[in-house]
Amino acid sequence: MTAIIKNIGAKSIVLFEEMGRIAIFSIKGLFHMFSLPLQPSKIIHQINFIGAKSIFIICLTGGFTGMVLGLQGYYTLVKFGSEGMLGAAVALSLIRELGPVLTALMVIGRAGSAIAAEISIMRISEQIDALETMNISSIRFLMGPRFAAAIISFPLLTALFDVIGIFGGYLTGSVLLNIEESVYFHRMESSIVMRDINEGFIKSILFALVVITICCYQGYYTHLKREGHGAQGVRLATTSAVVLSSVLVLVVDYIITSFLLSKP
Amino acid sequence: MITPLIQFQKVSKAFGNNQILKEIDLSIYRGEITTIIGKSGVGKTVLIKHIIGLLAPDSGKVMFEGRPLFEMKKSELKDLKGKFSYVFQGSALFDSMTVFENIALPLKEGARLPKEEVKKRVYERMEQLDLDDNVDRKYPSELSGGMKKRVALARALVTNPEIVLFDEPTTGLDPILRNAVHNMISGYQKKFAFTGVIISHEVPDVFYFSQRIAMINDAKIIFEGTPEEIKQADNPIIKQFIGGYQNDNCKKMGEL
Repeated sequence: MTAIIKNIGAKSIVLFEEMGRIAIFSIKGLFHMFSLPLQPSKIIHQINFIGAKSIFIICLTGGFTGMVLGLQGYYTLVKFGSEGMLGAAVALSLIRELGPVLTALMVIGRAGSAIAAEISIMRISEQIDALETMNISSIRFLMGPRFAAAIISFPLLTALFDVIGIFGGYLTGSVLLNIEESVYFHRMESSIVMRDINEGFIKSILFALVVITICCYQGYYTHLKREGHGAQGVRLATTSAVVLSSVLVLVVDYIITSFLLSKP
Repeated sequence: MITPLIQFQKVSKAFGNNQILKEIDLSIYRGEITTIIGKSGVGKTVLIKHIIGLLAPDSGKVMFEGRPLFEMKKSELKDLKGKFSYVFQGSALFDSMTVFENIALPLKEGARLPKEEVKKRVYERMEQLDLDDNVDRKYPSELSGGMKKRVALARALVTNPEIVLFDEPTTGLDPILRNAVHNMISGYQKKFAFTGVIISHEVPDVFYFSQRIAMINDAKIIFEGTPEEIKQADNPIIKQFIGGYQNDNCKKMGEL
């Protein structure tokens, strides 16, 4: 019995230590986003990698998500004779929920895994140690631009996802299933308020912070893992970055949604 | 009595159950080259990583000019780091940067010098290390092992450091390049009077350019003294280590 309690205690300490390290890492990353002197060229380079290069996949998934929502929504609403509400249903689902979540999940798969792999290789090949010996803060040099790029890119990609998704819903709802175009857009316009847009925006910013913190952290501290050496270390860092950040996006989404919905 | 520039006092370090350093005492003096020898995996790299603060001791003190590092303020530690350079065993070049960018990095990001000054100093070091001008735009993956070592050396020396830590700087180099690197370290040390700490297996080569030798074995320093003193040492482990390498070298000479 004592052994079990000891084991739980030891694991809890490790867990809390790790959570503390993640929190400190995140604060440092945020602080170094705009610490002087600014690193505009590195931030632009990262925006290109995290943001611009994700546009195609965001358009693709956004389009198909909107089209599926259009189909599913139509066949559900038609049962109640409310197919005219399709535009509002598609837009609200996308703006408040699916847009930020799916954008985050897509960026995790495309850029987050690459960031974790890149940083863990830098750790294993002592490039991060080399930075420290040169009196260059590795967090500022490597994480600052990535944090800034993620926080700039996520809301823009989410907005793009929403727009393309709404257009996808229009394609299935109006073009394929013959809902009046004016009804689709009018219902959408009259149902969406600024609060919905803000909710999506807040979520995308928080997801950006979660994703970039976890992906960078997993790479940066690869060497602290029990099997964090060589190719195996890179594999572990990448896998845990993708799994953990995806799960955390969904957990944070639930917490934020319940918090925002409870507010009048 | 001269105060050592860097001093280890009863430094211990373990990774999990693996005790790497056990109550190590070691003194490194200003303006000298101190070479740390020992079998592979005995903790030589762990030892020098403590000097530059990449690792912190579990117990004991690492002191710089008589002051323990842990007592120093953050700003003091930053200034102190500016005096050091480190040549990593695997070169640790940034593979997404060109040779020029790699060598320029400590000047641009660390010292924050103007562009023209950076360019001048980078090309000066490249020339001194026989790195052709056409190498500057290449990426580390396009270079041979020897060339990578020279780029790493150029990056370490470009800031004119007071103390240079070399982690096996000649591993993987051919004998001619190995001698060139040894001569270069020795030549630069005389020219710039930096303090050098070298990890090397190149016995007896290291005896010719080192003022002091320290040997580490079983997590402890088993010898600290001049090259002449180590040659006279009675300790069988030291004798075997030095003799083994000398025999290896003789065998290689015989094969030739």
